[in-house]
This record gives sequence, structure tokens and C-alpha cells, in this order.
Amino acid sequence: MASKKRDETSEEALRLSTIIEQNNIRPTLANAVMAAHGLKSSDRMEPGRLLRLVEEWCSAPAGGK
Amino acid sequence: MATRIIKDVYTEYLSGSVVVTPPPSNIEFVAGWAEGGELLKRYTISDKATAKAIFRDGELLKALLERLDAGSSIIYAVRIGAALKAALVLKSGETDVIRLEALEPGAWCNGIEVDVSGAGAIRTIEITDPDNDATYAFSGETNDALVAAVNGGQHLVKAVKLADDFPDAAIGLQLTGGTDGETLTNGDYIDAIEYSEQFPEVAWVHFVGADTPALWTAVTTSCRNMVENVLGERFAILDMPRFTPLDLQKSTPQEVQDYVDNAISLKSEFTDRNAVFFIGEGRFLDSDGNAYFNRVTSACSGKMAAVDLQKSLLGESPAGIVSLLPEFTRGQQVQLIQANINYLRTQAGIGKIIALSVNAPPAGETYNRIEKLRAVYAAGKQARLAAFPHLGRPNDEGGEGLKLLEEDIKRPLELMRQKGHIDSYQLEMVSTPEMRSLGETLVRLSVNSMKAFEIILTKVYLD
Repeated sequence: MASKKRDETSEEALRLSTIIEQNNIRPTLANAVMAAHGLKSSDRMEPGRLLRLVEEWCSAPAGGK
Repeated sequence: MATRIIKDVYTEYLSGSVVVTPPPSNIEFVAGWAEGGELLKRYTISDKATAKAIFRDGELLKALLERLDAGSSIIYAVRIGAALKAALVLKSGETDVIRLEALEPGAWCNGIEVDVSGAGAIRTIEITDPDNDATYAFSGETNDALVAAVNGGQHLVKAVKLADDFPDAAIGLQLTGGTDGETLTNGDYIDAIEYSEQFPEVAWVHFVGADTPALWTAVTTSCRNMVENVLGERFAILDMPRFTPLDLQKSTPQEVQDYVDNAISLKSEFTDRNAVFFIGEGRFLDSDGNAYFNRVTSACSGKMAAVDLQKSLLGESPAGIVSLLPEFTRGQQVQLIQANINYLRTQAGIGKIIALSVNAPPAGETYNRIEKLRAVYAAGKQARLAAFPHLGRPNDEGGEGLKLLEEDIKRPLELMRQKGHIDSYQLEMVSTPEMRSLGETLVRLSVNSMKAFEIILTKVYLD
């Protein structure tokens, strides 16, 4: 876990639009995650961090009632 | 709206030879949690008996029944969630020999009972349906024969042979591990949204319980992408969070005001042409006469499916709602109208009527009412379908291709105009020499619809 954390923090921050394109994140999902976290596609973030946000958001309960 | 026809324009057959059957203008795509049916599989539902038989229970079934009561005729229904299939492994001593797995996920399959009997050269497997206690019996001289007989003779489980030894005799075995997957994740909704995109004929979508700005964003992003990429014209019916007073029967004025304020706050920064919000709940009766509360979204959607294209939802009364929860005050109604949120109200002598039919577009957008959006998208669908046979055909040198394309696209639009489904339309075909060299044509379709009476009625209700 410690080494993973070092890897993520050592990543270079990129524009979200770049990370989304490089990782083939579909627009439907990418826009939803950005809306959930108040992010804009021009914001910058480490790629690993965004991917973790995507994963966490997808697995989070949504209600459904 | 503009429809971009990509690639070659056909020229070498006579216009009029193309027969295009237009899609119905009221196909709804509805996804939600259910206790029956396969996951992420489209079921076309037009009657309540079929819906109950497939989905058994859950929010999806309620959404379907409320729609059908209100007038829906064609619904693409999709079960979502992380439900698991029940299974049972038959053993010979310690060895696994035959695996039986339920054909669909769900807790109800845990009640499927299995008996194994026989000795010597023949074994018999009996499978009992928990719904009706019907028992299916299968005999075989080998496990291959048993498995083949089981798989060919019933609709509850799928059998797989794991080893040649006969299963041990046993009575009253049951499948286990089946779950309903009741708690939906954001990922479940994303899967459903993406699954919906393969049905271009769908007129509008509703993901039951997707009531957060992030999920609204996902749904409308999908709608926008489909429209902009000429894949299909659709808009979204969006849910607001549930009304959860301490006592459903006696909500306080403050609870209702908080509900309204929270809804308006939640969507305050959310605008999208394809977004149609409904707020409020109704008291419904199920088929056994038991009362339950649910959002009015599905009932309103069913009502919309029942009215002709271009006909306003304003003043329409969805069937099946016994009472409203809450009844919004006049001040709250004004708040909701100004926030582009649809709701129901009680009109003396009429019943529960839809108070306003406005979608939630950004400032400056023109498609600001549901029925207008619906009419424009229906016309776009018909134009796209009529143009489809022209795709992939070679251009001609005389420029007749554009003329034939225009004639074929005009045919269904003219029919819509004559039926009153649209008020008027303008069709413009452009293919510059540069576009022509690329095999492209730009089709620009503008559709007008009527609105005068709505403005008058809205003022009457509000003043």
C-alpha cells in the first residue's frame, strides 16, 4: 500500500480531459464522476487519483428506490 | 436540429421505392431494480401480466405497472443490479457431479427444490417450481443424459455435468446463494445507461431511482451524445429524491418546504435540454388493493406515452394515483415552476393533473417543453430512418441524389404535419463540392410546434 501511495503522489498532474481520453473513460461515466466531485475537464489531477475516484464512485450505493 | 448524414448519398434508384416503417413515438426505456428477469436484458412490455411474470416485484415492476395504468403501450424494461444466481451442486460422495444453476438471478430461486432418486442404472432428478409447486422429473442412464433431459425440459435451472458418477439420492435439496441485488450502485446505473444506447428507436429513458446530479449528468450526457452523433433522438425523465417525512400520513408544512427547497437546490446548477424533472409522490394501489407510495414520475411518463405527439401534458391526469404526497402549496408550485420541475396538483372536478410541462434547458435553448422536445425528436427519428437507405450508395454526377434524399425524408415529415404531430418544418440539404468529394451531405431539419394555449393556461393556473 505504501509503495502504491508513493507511485500515485509521484505522478504528474494532467488535465482531466487528457486522463479521460488516455484511459478511454466513456463520456457518460467521466461526466458523472466530474459532476459528483465538482470537477471540470480543465482541472488537473494525478491520473491514478482520478481513476480511483471513478472506481469508488462506480461502486458506491446509488439508492435505486 | 441538424442531422448529419455521413458518407455517400444514393442516386441510382427512383425515389418512392423506399419503404420505411416509422417507429412508434412513445417507446420508453425503463431500467431499475427487480426481483425477476435476467440482468441487462431488454424485455418489451405492453401488459401488466407479462411484467409481473417476468419481474415479480421491485421498483422496476412498480414503474411498469404505474406506466401501463396511465397509458404506456411499449416499454423496454431492463433489470439492473448485482443480483446473483442460486445454485446447487449434486454430489457422489465427496465428488461434485452435476451443477444446477438458476436461469436468472434472484432470491426466489433459492426455493427451487431438487430431489434425486433411483439406484442401479437409472437416476431421476425432480425439480419443483416454488411458484406453483409444479414438479418436473427427468431420468437418465448417464449424467450426460440426465443433464440433457433437465436442460431440455424445464425453464428453472441449467444443468452442467462435472463428473460421470451418478449423484447420490437425496430429498428436499434446495438451490442456495440467489440474491436480488437490491442495493444499486452508480456503476449499475452507468451499465444500464450504456446498455440503453443500442436502442435508437427509444423516445425517452427513465432510470428509476437515479436521483443525484451525478447520475442526471450521466443520463443526459448519454442522450446528448446519441443526438449529436446521430445515433438516436431521446430525452430523459429524471427522478428527484424521495419525500421522506417522519410520518408519511401527516407530513408537516416544514417537511414539505424542505423537500421543495432541497430539490430546487439540488438541480440549481443542472440544466440540460434533455432533462425533464418530476417531483412528488402519489399513493397507489397494487393489484392486491394494498396502498403504497411512489414517485409520480412513472405515472406521468405513462400519460405522456398515451397522448399524441405535440399534445401538451398540461392539465393531463395520469390514472392510478389515489392521492398526492405532498400537495404543494400555491407558493411552492410557483417555486417549482420557476425551477422547471414538473409536479402534479389536485384540480377540483378533474383530479390529479400535471401542472406544468417544461424541461430544464440552459438559458437560450428553444426546446423548453416536453411535448415540443418529443415532437422534434420524433421528426428527427423519422428523417434519419428515411435517409438511412441512402447511406453507402454512390453519388451521382447530376446532383439527383440530393433531390431523391430530400423527397424521401420529406415523406414521413409531411405525414406528421398532416396528422398534426408537428406544426411545420423546414428541410435544407447542403452538399458543397468539398463535402461531395467526401461523400457527405448536411441535412438541416427545423420543426415548429404550437404553444399558444399553454401560455394562456399556465397564467390561468398561477394567477
